[in-house]
Amino acid sequence: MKRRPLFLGAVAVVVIALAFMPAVLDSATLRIVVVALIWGLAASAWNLAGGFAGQLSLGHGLYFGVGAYAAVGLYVNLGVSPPLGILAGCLLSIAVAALVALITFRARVGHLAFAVLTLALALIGHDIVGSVRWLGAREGLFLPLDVTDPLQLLFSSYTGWYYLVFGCCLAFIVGQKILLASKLGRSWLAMRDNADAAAAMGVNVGRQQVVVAAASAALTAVAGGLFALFTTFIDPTSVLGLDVAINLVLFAIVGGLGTVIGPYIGAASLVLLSYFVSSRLGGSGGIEPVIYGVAVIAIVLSLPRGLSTLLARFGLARQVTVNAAADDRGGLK
Amino acid sequence: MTLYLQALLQGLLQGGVYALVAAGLALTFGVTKVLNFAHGAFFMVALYLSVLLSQLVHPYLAIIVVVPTMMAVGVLLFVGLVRPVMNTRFLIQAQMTLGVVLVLEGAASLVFGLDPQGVTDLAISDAVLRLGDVVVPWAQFIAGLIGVVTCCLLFVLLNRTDFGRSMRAIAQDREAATLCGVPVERTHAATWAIGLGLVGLAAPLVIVSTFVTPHTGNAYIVLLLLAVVLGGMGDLLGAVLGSILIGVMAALGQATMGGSLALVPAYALVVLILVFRPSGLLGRGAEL
Repeated sequence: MKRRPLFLGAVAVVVIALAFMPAVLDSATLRIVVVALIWGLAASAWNLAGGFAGQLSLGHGLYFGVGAYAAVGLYVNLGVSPPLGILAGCLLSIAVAALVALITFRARVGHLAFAVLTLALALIGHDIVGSVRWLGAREGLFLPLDVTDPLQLLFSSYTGWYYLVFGCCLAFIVGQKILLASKLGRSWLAMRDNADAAAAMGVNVGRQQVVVAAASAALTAVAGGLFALFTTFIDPTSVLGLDVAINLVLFAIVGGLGTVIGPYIGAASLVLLSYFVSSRLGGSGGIEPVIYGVAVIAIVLSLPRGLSTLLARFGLARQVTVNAAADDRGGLK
Repeated sequence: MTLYLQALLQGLLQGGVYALVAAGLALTFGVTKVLNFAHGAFFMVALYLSVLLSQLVHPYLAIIVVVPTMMAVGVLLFVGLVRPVMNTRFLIQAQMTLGVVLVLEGAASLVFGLDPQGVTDLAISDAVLRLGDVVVPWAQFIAGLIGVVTCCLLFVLLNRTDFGRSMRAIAQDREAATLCGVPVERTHAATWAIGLGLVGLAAPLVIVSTFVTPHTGNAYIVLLLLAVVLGGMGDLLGAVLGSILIGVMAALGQATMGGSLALVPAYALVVLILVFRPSGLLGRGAEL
C-alpha cells in the first residue's frame, strides 16, 4: 500500500493534536469529547458487521447494554473488578451474537427480517433488565464514585478517561486497517457484495458471518462497558433501548458506511452538534432534536456516502472502494 | 377464562388499528421500496392534529380534515425527501427517514410539550359494550372495526381497480411497469398519499381512548415494523395478519405477565416466526 506523504502528514498532525486535547479543553467539553469517542467506538463496532459484512443489525443495543450492565452490575452487586465485568459482558455478547448469526444464516433470514429479529431480541433484553430488581429495574444503576483505581478503570479525572478511550480508538482503527488488508477482511467484503460469488470463491460464508457477528458484538460490549463506567449511571433505556441501535446506525452512516474512520467522524459530529446546540440554546428541549434531524437529512441529501467523503475530496483519504456500499446495488464489478 | 377472552377480543381490536397503520407502511414500502421509519412519527403528528381539531369538532368528524391533510403531507414527503433517495441503498434511505423522525419529535415537543395530551372527556371515551362477561370500550370496538373494514376496501382497491393494478405492477417490476405505460411517478406519489392517509384515518379513531406524547411514534414504529416484517415485506395481507397477531400477543402478554414484560411474548413470537418463516407468515414476502 503506497501512501502519499500528504496523507501520512495529515494523520500525524491529527493524532498529535488529539493527544493534546486534555491540555486545551475545559472539563465540560472534554467530557463530551470522551462520550463522543465512546459512541465512535460503538458505531465502529457496528460498522464492522453492518458496513463491512452487510449484517443489517438493529439489535446492537443489546450488546452495548450487556457490556454496560456487566461492568456496573457485577461491580455494584458482587464487587467484581470492572475490566473483568467487561470481559464477562464480551463473552456473553459473543455467545448471543454467534448463536443468532448461526441460526439466522441456517434459516436463510433476509436482511430486513434479520434487522427486525435482532431489534426484537434487543427489546426483549430491554424489557427483562427493566424488571430485574438486582439490575436496578427501570430505575437504573448508579456506580459509586468512592474508589479511584486506574487498573479497575475507575478514574477520578476526565484526562485519564480521555487517554484510555483515545487509546482504544487508535487500537480499533489500526486493527481494522490491518484486518481489511488481510485475506479475512477481504473475504468479508466479498461476502457483503455478493454472498454467492464469495462462497463460490471458497469463502466459508456461514462461518465468516458468525465470526463477524461475534467480533462486532464483543467490541460493542467493550464500548458499552466504557460508556457505563464513564457516565456512572445506566438504565434500560439509555443503554439497551431502540435509541442506542438507531444512534449506532446513524453515526456509522452519517460518517461513512463501510469506512474505518467514518463512524468516529459521524459520532463526533453528531454528539458535539447536539451538545453545542443544547448548551447554546439552553432549556427548550425540542430545538436540539430538530437541528440534529435537519443535519442528518442535509447530510444524506448532500453527501449520501457520508462525511468521510469530504476527506477523500481534499485528498486526505483514499476514495475507498469499500464505499461502493453507498449506492451500488451489490454485485461484483 | 374471562380474562383471556377479554384480552383476546381487545387484542383483536387493537390489532385492527395496528393493521390500519401498518397497511400504510406496507403499501409505501411495497410500491416504492423505501421503508418509512417515520411512519410512527407521522401517526404521532396525526394524533396531535386530532387533539387540536377536537377543540372544534368531535374527533370522528375531524377525520374529514385529518385524512386529506395527511394525504397532502404524504405527497410532500414523497416529492421532497423520499424521491431523492429512492434509488439508493436501504441504509441511506433509513438515514433520511430517521432524520425525519428526529425533526418531528423535536418539533412536537417544542409545540406541545412533553405532557400527555388526549381527548377523553367525550361520551364515547367511557361507553362500554358488554358481551356476556367480556367488556369492550366502544371506542376500541369502533376503531378496530373500521380498521378491518378499511383493510378489506384496500384489497378491493388493489385487486379490482386500474390504480391498484398500477401499484401492483410497480411493486413487481418498476422498469417493466414503466415500459408498459404505467404512470409510475404519479402512482408513487399517490401511494404515499394513501399510506399517510391511512395514518390520518387511524389517529382520530384512537385519540378518543388514549393519550399522545412526542415519543408515541417510537412505541408504534417498533410494533409496526414487527407486524410488517412478520407478514413478509410488501405483502399487504401478511401485514394485516401480522398486525392482528401482534395486537393479540401484546394483549395476552399484558393480561398474563403485565408491567414491563408485557411485550416480551410478542417479541419472542416474532423471533421464532422469522427464524422458521423468514419471508413472512404467508411465505411470499420480498427477500431484502
